[in-house]
Amino acid sequence: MKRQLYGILALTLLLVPLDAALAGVTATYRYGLSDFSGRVLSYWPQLAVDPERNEVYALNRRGNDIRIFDEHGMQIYVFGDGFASAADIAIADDGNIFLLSTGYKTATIHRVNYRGEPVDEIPLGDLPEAYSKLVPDRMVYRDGALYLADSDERLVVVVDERGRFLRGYDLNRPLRHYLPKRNRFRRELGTVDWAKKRLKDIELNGFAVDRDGNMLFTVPVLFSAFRMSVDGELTQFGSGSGSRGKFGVAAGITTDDSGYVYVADRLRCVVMVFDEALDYQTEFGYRGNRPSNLIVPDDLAIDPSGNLYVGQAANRGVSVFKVVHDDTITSELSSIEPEPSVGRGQGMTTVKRRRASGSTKRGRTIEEDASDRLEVAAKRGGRNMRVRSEKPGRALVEDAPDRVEFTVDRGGDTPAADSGEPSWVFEETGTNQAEVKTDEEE
Amino acid sequence: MRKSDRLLVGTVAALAWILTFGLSGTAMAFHAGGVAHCDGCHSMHDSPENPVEGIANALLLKGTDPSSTCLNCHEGSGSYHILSDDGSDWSPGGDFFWLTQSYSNVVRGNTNTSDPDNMGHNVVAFDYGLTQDVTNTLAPGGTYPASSLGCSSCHDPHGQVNGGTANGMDPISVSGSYGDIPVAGTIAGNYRLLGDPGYKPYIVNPAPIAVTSGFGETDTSHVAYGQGMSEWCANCHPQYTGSSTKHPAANSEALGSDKADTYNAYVATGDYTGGAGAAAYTALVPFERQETNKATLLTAVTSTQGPDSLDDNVMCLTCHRAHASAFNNITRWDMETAFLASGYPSAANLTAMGAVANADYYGRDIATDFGTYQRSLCNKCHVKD
Repeated sequence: MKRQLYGILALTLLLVPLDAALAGVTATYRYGLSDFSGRVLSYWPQLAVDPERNEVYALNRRGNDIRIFDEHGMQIYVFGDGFASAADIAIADDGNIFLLSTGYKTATIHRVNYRGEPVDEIPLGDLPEAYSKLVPDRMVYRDGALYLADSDERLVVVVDERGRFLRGYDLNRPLRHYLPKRNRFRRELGTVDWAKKRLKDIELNGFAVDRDGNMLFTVPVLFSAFRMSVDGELTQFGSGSGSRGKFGVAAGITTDDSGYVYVADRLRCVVMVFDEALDYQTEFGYRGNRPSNLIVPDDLAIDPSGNLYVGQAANRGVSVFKVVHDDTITSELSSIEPEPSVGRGQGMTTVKRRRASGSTKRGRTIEEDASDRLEVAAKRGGRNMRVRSEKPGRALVEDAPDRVEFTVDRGGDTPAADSGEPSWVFEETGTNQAEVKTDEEE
Repeated sequence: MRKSDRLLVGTVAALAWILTFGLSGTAMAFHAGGVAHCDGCHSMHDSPENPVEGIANALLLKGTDPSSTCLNCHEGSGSYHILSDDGSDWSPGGDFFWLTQSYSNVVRGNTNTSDPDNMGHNVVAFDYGLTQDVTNTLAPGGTYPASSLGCSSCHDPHGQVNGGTANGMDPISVSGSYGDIPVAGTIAGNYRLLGDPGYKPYIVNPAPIAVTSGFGETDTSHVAYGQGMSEWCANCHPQYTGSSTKHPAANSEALGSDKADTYNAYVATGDYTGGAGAAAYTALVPFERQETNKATLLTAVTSTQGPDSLDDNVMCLTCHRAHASAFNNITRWDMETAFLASGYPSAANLTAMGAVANADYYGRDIATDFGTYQRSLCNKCHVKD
């Protein structure tokens, strides 16, 4: 019997550190969004990124203003008049801003330019009867469409930029399966529909849309997050507890183009990271006064460079973390030729070979941080693409429809690992063309 | 299989069943009428998963202070939330949103700016930007210090009834807010976990008896107040009851046929056609039905029947809300205007504050529901209009 107990204990000890060992993601605190006076203070701003212009927008609902920050986290513009009732914000491809304002049983979407000047109003008048109750309070812009979620009614509609209905989702039916069982001590309340009553308490909190159009949302009272596919299939992930990787009060949610999902937990004051398969990877933050700590984190947004923006309470404003996927190269490059390592750059994953080839999923970052010259050849749809650089750099393959084959060819002498030379960024544009940018040009 | 093995298998199977099914119904019932699981609010060991690093507090709370800890779950809009960004928490207690906002109007040439401290009980919740009342340092009509005011001043977060287990009480099996019937040998919690004499020294009067069916408040779905509310408020505001110089509010202050008949007949200013009061109830002017049986009281949560003339009584919450409101002195309607539809905050004020339309009256358009010339709802009982 003792041996069995020891066996169980050993198994337990083996399993405990497993999640930390598996973690392929690291997050490093960078700074708080600031202006020239210091950190911009706010309570739980709603956040949106503009990937085209490398800007982040913060809708400060309590302060009734909208602040725009550049890629360095510095405030570059602020406006607010006339948008006090705005509940959420999203950024269009052309740089215009969508503002969702809610009222009693009504909601309006205004499009304004970056100065806050009105452009037009997006009408929401022609929704199907099934969505007539919709009063959206969450909004996401993705690929030319606006995803509008009503957290109280658990309805989502997708409209185009003119407000024309594209499709809708009634989350009530699938969410019924996740309702807790009725308290067996509870007395029947006449004609009250208990399932309906319990559903009423299931409000959505965080809401996001991933690169493939799948919706992600959190439901605090179920201690869970969900992913709903475009065709309506619902997947639950996460569970409640006070321990690592578990939800206390699941709040904001976002996803990056690699498929990683980030969920803020208000109670545990962490941001949890899940991989594309929705398996827990790691968490960071924790309650405290240090800059890297978080106090009641809520809304999240992430830009293509891996900067994760975290809005929080206690007038702490927005903290910015740099997220790096350690498995970017190691898990994707299976046919790397054995060449000497050239070192590791500033917390980033490095291709430690002179020559490498393989494939990567779209959105993955391929980093080259210590070479005189970098050559990337990408192959997609039978066409070859080639990009050359004259400096150490990195290749960023994004916005591709699926996997991209590539070859990295580093020529010339290999400099010191920590040469500190500027990086190159290679971006595949998604049209079988490739652009090359330097950091200076961005 | 040996007997001990069978016992082991049986035990494991029972545990598995409990873990799988027995706890599945608890997801939405954090308090469940009593004390919840400890680590929902406390971090016992300053552990890596739940540190209190840098924000040491003797209570080991997962918030800078008790109220911040409550708001970790209860901040938000709708349902069980009580602090929104837009005044849309239309619970019976009211939305602490009003403590975060101020508005100005020019009245007879003077600019009047509202004082948010006067709009609610100023619970101190640092994480959520709620601060101490700077005007009243003590509870009006009492001595409770404003600096100590928090959610847990009124609500017992541990939900004990009369001192709980240590005082010989039976287990709490159901919430005390929804009329649930506890099984034999168990009890229900207090309504909304309100503290009773076993909770804090200043609470000498028992928790009130009331039930509801949810979190919102309309004329057809509302709290059914039984008795004891005013006495309970008097735990901190003792000078506001039992005085001939104060408006009556107590179990003993029956409306009587005079006021009850008026309440029932009064529909609106200029409309006195309510008759026996089958549709007289308005959630804007609630009353106590002097009912102590929660099962009986439960039938009244959807009732629109006005008060009877036997013992139904006026209470503090007839005119005030417990958390916060859009009006001075946490009243349910604007008591500083002749016509409610032209009172403050105005529609423009609400928009400027980021509040949803008609948030001050829980979505009601007063002009539509009562009329453009509706006067104070004091007239629901006093009909002086």
